[in-house]
Formats: sequence, C-alpha cells, structure tokens
Amino acid sequence: MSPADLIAIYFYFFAALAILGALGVVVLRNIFHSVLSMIVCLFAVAGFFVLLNAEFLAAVQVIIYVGAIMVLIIFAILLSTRIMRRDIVQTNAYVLPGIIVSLAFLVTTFFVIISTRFVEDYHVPFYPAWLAEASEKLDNTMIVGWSLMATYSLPFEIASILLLMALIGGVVLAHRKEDD
Amino acid sequence: MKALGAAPHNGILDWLFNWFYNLFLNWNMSEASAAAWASGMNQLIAFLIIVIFIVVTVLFVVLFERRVLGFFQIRHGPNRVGPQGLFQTVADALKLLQKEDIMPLAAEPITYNIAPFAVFVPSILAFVVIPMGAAYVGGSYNVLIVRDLNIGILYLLAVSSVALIGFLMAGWGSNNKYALISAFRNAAQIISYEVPMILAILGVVLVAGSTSMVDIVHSQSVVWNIVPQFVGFLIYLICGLAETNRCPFDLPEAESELVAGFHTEYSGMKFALFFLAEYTNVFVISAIITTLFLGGWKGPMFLGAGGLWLTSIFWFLAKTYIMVTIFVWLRATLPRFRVDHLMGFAWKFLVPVAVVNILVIGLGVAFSHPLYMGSPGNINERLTADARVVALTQLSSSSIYNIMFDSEKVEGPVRIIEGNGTVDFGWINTAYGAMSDDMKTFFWAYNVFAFLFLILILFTVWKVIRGVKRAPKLEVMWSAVSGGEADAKA
Amino acid sequence: MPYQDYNWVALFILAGIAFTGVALLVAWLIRPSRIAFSKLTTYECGEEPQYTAWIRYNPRFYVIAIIFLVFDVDVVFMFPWASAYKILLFGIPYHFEAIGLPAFGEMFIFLVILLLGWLFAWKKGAFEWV
Repeated sequence: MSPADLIAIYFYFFAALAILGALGVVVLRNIFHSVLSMIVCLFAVAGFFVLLNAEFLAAVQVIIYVGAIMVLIIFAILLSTRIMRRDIVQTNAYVLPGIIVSLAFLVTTFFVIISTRFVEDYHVPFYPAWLAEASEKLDNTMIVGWSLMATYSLPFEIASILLLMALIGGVVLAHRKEDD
Repeated sequence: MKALGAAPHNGILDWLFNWFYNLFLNWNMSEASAAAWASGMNQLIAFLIIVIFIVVTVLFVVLFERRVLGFFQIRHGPNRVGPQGLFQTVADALKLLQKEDIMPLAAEPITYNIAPFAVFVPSILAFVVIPMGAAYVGGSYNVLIVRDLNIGILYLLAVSSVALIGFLMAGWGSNNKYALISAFRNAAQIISYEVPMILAILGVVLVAGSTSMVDIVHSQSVVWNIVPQFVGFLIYLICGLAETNRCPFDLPEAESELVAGFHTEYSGMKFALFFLAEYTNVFVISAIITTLFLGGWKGPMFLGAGGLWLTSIFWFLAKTYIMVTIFVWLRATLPRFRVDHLMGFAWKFLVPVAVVNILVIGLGVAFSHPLYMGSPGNINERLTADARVVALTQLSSSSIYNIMFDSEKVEGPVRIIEGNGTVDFGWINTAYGAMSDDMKTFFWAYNVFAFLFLILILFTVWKVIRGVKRAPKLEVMWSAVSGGEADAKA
Repeated sequence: MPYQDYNWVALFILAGIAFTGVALLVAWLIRPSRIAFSKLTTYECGEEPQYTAWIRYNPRFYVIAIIFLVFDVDVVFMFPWASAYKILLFGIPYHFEAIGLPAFGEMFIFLVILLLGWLFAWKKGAFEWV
C-alpha cells in the first residue's frame, strides 16, 4: 500500500464522516444527538486539515470548534426550555425553500470550485521555492506566525478589534438575556 | 529521527538497550528507515509495549495516590493485595468488572454509553506526544516518544477539549440532576482555567520557539523553564489542578453536594473507565508539567552516554511522580474552593497575571536575556541539515546567537549537547560578557522587575491559600449552629 | 510528511476504543444482571426522582462560555506569534527577514485590546458568579 493509497483511504473516510455528521445534524430528532453529530463533522474537517499538512489549522479546528463553540452550543441548548425533550417535533413545512436554498448553494460552490485556479494549474510556482523548502522543514505554526506578524500585521490587529467587539456584544447580549 | 547504523556495544547497558530497541522501541524513526529496518510486527509489538506502559502507569498512579494520601493522614493505605498493595488497583478493577451495570430508565442510552469512550480515549491519546527519554541508538541520538508532532502542545490542548465534551455527554446522558450540574460546573471550570493555562504554555513556546514537545525539552538544556518562568509554572500548576478536577478545584465531584459528580449514574466497568481516565489525566498533566517546566528527561546523566536511555527515563518518571506527589499533597492539605471564588480566581486574577507574564517573557526574549535564549543544543538539534543553520550562523543582529554559533560550527555531523539541565553559569557568563553596557543596565533592570513580579504573585497566591484555609472563628460558628447572636449572648 | 505522524494518533484512537470496548464487553459477559425496577430509577439520594434533569439552567454558564470563546480565539492567535517570535526578532537572512521589536509591539497592542475587553466584561459583572 503506497502513501497515496493511504491518503485516498483517509480522504474518503473523512469525507464520509463529514457528510454523515452533517446529515446527522439535520436529520436526527434529538437535539443533543445533533450536537454530537456536528462534533463528528468538525473532527472530519480537522482530519482534512491534517491531510493537507495544515496541522496548526487542524489543532485550532478542534480547540476552538469542539472545545469552545460546541460547549457554548450545549450550554445554549440547556438554556432553552422546551428543547430538551426527547423528540422535538420536526416539521417539513420549509421543504421547498430548503431545497431551493441548498441547490443555490450547491451550484455556487460548484462554480467556485471549477473557476478556482488550484496550485497545480499555475505554471509558475505558487509560492517561492524557499518557502516551499522551509515549510517542509519548519512547522507551519511558525510560518503562519511569521506571515501574520511580518506581512499581515494590520489584519492581525483588526482581528483583535473584531474579537473585542464580539466580546462586548456577547457580554451585553447575554446580560440582557439574564435580565429577562 | 536519524537512520540507524551498526549498534556499537559499549557496555552492558548499551547492549541491553539496543536489544530492547531492536525488538520493540523503534517508535520515532523516519518512515523510510522504519520501513526499511523494522517489520510491521515490530511496530505492533512496540505499540503493545506502549499500551502496557500506559495501563501499568494508570494502575500504579491510582495506588500511588492512595498510599501517599494514607501517608499524609497517618494511616497505611491499601497494603494487603500483593507486596505493598501493588495489585490493589488490579483487584479493584476485577471487582468492578463483575459488578452489575445499571443504566437508569430515564437515561438517554446512546449518549450515556458513548460517554465512557469520549472520556477515556482522549486521556490515552495524550501519551502520543509525551517525550519519555532519550537514547543513543547506533551512535545517533533518538528521543523516546511515540510521535514528535509539530503541534505537540496544541495537540494536547485539542485532546483535552474532547474530554470536556465527554464529561458533558456523561452528565446529559445520565439525566440525573447531580450529574448534569456537575458536568456543567466541570465545563465552566475547565474553560475558565483553559485561558490562563494556554497563556502559561505560551511563555514556554516563546522560549522554545516551537510547539513540539521535544523542542521544548531541548530548549531547557541550559536551565529548566521553572527558574526563569516560575510564575508561568505556578499558573500552569493551578490550571492543571483545575483541569483534572483535583482538590482544591474538585467542585464537579464535590461529594457533599453532588454525590459523585458526572459519573453518579455509572456503575461497574463504566465507572472504572471514568476513574481510570481521571488518574490518567493526573499522570498526563504531571508529565506535561515535567516536559514544559522541569526539563523533561534532562538531568545529571550519571550512567554516561550508554546509559542515557535509563537515566533519562529515570529522570522523567522521577519528576513526573514528584509532581503527582505534589498533587496528592495539595489534596491532603487544602479544602475545596467556593464556586464563585473559583471563577473569580481564574478570570480576575490568573488571566491578567498570565498576560503580564507573557509580556515579561516576551520582553526578556526580545532583549536576548540569557535565560530565555534556549540552549545551543536546542538550536543545533532543530536545525540539523537545514538551510536555516547556515543563515543563522551568519546572523549579526543578536550577540547571543553569535555566541551560540561561533562555538558550534555547523558542518559535518551535528553534536548534540545533552545538557544535564542544571544552570550552566559558564554559558550565561559568556553571554553576559558579550553585552553592551546599555544592555547590561537593561538586563539588571529587567531582572529586578521580573523578581518583583514574582514576589507579588507569590504573595497573592499565599494570601488566597490563607484565605481558603482560614476557618470561621469558634464563636461565629457556635452562634450559627445555635441560631444567631441572640442565643450566643444568652 | 507530517500527516504520516498522525497514523499513530489514529492507531491510538483505535486502541483506546478497542481497550474500552473489550473492557465493556468482558464486563458484559461476566457481570450478573438482576433487573429490578427500583434499581433503574434515577438516583436522587433515595427520594423518588422528581421530573427530568433536562430543565432550564442558569444563563451564567452561557456568559462564561461566550467570554471563553473570545479569549480562546485570542490566545490561539498567539501560538503562531510565539513559535515565530525568535525568528521575527532576529530573522534568518535571505529567508525570513527580521522585523525586530515590532514583533513585541504588535502583540503588546493585541494584548492591550484583549485586556480592554476583559476590563469591560469585569465591569459588566460577567465574572461574578453569584
């Protein structure tokens, strides 16, 4: 079994996991099961990142999505009153709008994919050779950090402002909820 | 990471290690050399060895805690099953294996049954990136680690966040009020203490310049991180206690309020799995503290290069079990926190302290403080046969780097400096001598500032501990029991 | 290639699941099973269980989780900075040029903005548990 075969096996495994997880979020009746299914889906995405040698992103995917966002969602579920019953009533009233929206999304994604020029499509190297060489020797956490601070320092600071806004918004909103 | 040559036999220890290594322990080789050299069977046996090591460790840690706790409380602890009670945990596990498994009717079966997996598997996963020693194999230097992942420490954080979901699953799946409240408290506590924990780790990453666990250990060849980063060590220790639900942060398992916590409804083997996962986490946290702050496997290598594997494993286990003992000691000494104190301590005290700690360390690194510059061995180890080596040796912007590399011309095979982890004053002296006068002034100002910061933190932690320990005065207690001041006066 | 390192992670996941599964299987084979209705009730210190546990809980857990989410993203942002810090300071000629002290300054600004949010949350009483 060659490494390429192994990558293929991993890829199809993660793809199946991601699709099943995403389906589960929608289909499962029990909302906590939906959460668990979403965690499976997020793990599959982390697996994709690992296959793409983006280890840092894989770790961040798990730390932030599973460790923070899913916990937030579970807390949110337990904040809502009626939702915790075993089977929430699921209606298919929105089946037509749902189909239209998802078809539109599918078509958009499809066109984005076929119109994107991937690395292989470029005849000149996509990034300088030294970076390609360095990225094999160094961990990509370091390269991400270097580009963040050296090249994209303004977006980096703007990201911190965005996070500040998110924090303020979250605290204010949550406190209003508590007052109700 | 290097290809294996012919193994020289330089004494009985070397021979013994090579024998074991050839049989089992070919973990950390490159894929190519592993494939060429080792058959799949050997990989399997190596894997089984690791699994057995983990199981034995976990079983031993449980006994260790009970015996040490007994020592603290002037009693014997379990000492009947086997010599010194060595098989007590095995006996307990066998007993729990035969116990009836009761799942309440109200519980939600799927979540309830997956939860033990979601709690136990992550605790095992942490062992992948913990470096347990080093050894010369065929003349080349190898680290005894399952896999030196580039994102080592981030991987550990990711793994611990999965366990958190497991706790929530256990609490929710049981449909028991105690279990659910416990799971909630657990989650809130873990996420509160995760922020200062990550900030404390960042200090170590700043000095090592890498997230890999092996690099972090190598960066401590000259001086262990606990010396220049004592504040970070304290923060990590406190957060580690909170993450593993240990006393004084054992609110999720507060017997007096919550029966047994999130595993109230679990019995038999499922309970045993939660129990084992908890103790595995204690060992793992201790091992992480050892790796991050106590220099990992580094220590005086009294058996020489041939016995490196033995001494390094010895130092690793010794340091880890000292940390486990400290955990038990704290459990034996401190009472439980109050829940609002718990949250306030994390958010109002630890977070700002950890942020200031990061800034202090960042400043020290920026001005090439000798204690923060890692070790020469570190950089040689990391930059083997790398274009960066050549580039770094030509570097002139930092005097420290020049000192490191002038003495170590990186041509031919790289010499690895297996520092014994004690403070290398000679090296620091050289670095200090190379500083300009302005730098020297800054150096001393920085040292004084960092020392004052440390004293401030120590004083505050001391105050907090005293505040927890202080019992109400006897009269107050009496008046509370007997129904208020009126009774007390009468 | 880095992804091959993760074969071991996959192996450990499988081994963990296998170990847990075998332990539970063995327990299932040898344990007694004497079902009685009272055994299957939810434990509430011997009282008859009242209702389900899945009721509405305190929103302050939610507040803590929101604050944690923001802080988590913040501190994870700092990992790339930390692991690139020495190279940002001192650089590698021809490859990564040094940016020097701004590497510290940028993170200082980042942390000050973080601490502003922290101060706001404190003043709003988000850290008060009671």
